[in-house]
Amino acid sequence: MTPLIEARNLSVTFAIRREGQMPWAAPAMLQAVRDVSFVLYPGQTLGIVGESGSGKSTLARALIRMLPATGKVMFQSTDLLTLPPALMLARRADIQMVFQDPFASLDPRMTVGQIVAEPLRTHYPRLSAPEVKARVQVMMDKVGLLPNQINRYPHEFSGGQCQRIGIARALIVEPKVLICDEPVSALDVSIQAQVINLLAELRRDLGLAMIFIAHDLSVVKHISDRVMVMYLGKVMEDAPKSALFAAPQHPYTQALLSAVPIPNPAAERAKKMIALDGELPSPMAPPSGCVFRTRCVRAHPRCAAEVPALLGGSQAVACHLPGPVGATES
Amino acid sequence: MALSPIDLDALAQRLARLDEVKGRSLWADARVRFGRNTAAMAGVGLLLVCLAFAALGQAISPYSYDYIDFTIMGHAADMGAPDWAKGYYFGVDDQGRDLFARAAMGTRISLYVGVVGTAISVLVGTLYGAIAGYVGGWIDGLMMRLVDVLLAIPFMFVLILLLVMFGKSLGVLLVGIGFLSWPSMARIVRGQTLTLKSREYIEAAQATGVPALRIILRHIVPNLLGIVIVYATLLVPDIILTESFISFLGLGVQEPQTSLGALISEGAKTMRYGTLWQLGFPMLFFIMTMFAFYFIGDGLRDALDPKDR
Repeated sequence: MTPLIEARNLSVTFAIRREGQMPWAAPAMLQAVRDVSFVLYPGQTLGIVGESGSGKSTLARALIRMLPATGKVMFQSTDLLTLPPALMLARRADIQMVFQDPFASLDPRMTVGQIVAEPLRTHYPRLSAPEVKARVQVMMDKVGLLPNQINRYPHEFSGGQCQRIGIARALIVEPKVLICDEPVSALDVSIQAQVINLLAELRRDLGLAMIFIAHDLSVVKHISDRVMVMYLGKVMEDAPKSALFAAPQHPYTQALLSAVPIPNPAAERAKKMIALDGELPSPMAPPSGCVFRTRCVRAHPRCAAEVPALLGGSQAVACHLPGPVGATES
Repeated sequence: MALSPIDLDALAQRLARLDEVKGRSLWADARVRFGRNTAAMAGVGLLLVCLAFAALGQAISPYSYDYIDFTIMGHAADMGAPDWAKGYYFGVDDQGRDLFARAAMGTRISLYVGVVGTAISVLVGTLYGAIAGYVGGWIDGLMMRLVDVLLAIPFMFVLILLLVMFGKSLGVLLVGIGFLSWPSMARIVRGQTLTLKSREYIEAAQATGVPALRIILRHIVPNLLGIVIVYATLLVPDIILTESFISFLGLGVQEPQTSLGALISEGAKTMRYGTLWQLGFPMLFFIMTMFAFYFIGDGLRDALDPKDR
């Protein structure tokens, strides 16, 4: 099977200018995403997890060229990052995005109909008004909104409904890839389940490939085929879902998994927590060698000296001392 | 309030047919809030009175604004007082012209200058500010430095120079006021655009590939409109004041046409002869217009930005 999207050594660097700095002085460099590579096949879902500041959203925006990035993003064997703007515009219909905040991602002055129709009007300007309306109504029905609500405004809907509008807007141009940037973290738990089930259903019906960003592992577990764990802009582990949840190899993945609460008090008490000390280091001055070593239970002199490469076949790990929990704790 | 059975039936039918539900826009909400604001509605009332006076005043008066009654000319102090029997409702001025018709004329010109001047400034300022804010980078820097330079030039001085150079006419005055008052509008709009630009719905539009100009016109400008409308209603009285000041100096609207500023100027000059009606009536309409716009502006701000109270 040929990959649908393939990222190769994707990096995003921001130039940070401090206050009072002279315009000609060199700005500080912040590398938000470093050498990320992954492959996404048609119909698959890639989950990306990591704590705040690990570069998940930056990665998503770099993929659709909303941020300047280096490296390659191969989409159906063309590199999106070097595509001329006019051709990129046509590709934008193929890769759509669902945003985190359901209220902020909808224009408050537009009706649902106008919001959902916007991508359609952009990519198919020749469609007649009744045609556009008909398609919008079909789409609204698909995402579980009553088509007769077409003239309502976003503030008349609940958070879950607003997220459905956002999903309808993303899917109306029949994309091949849907990037979901924490689509449920702003919603109530009961609504989260509804929206995730909707996404899973639509993925099955439309044969979508998805990149699903979240910081909640149980959500990712439910929907992904592969899971990629990020820390400070780097990939720590990239593995099929079952392997990652059954036998995590990277100490950071293990710590993340141990923090997932189990809805059974007895099991929850018996569970061994791996508590991480300290805070995420500043991305302006990342640790030498392995970026995770400052908080790692297995840290070793080699970790400070040498950057671990992402190695391994289907379960790739970037660690000098990979292995199951308790294997090589120092 | 209970619905009658017939209403319920109709409602059930409507629901069954899945009729499209009418949405309630933020504008509709704002209209309701504005309607509940007593001071603002009083402002609207005052403005309607002024507008009616400006539109109908000359038709009501038996005299034209440039008709000179030679029997009164020069004797305004003894014979020119308001006289309902003769049709001089507001009295006459020094030249023997009917003050009612002239005040109507003056109100009309002042409102006209205020509204058209504001329209020019809003149009230029909004587009300029929205483009500068949205594009950002060095283009924004350049555009805003130009605004800084324009704001540093004494506005009144340039306006007077323009009127002296191109002749004293209403057209020059309008264009001059409009084009000199847009920079502060541009600044406000640019600031607001910067906050709007980082909203997720703008990002969503960019991600689908909506062209920049369409994003500015369809997403940025409608969301700016609240602030622009409020600022515009506060700009109208400012421009009327400026026009009055210019006319007070004798550089604005030329005889026999007149504006409230010119009338007040004349009234102030002849005050010592005891013809107080010459000052009082134009002043009354001037103050009414000012009050009306300020109250409406205040009410609009409350109505359009309910969070900010």
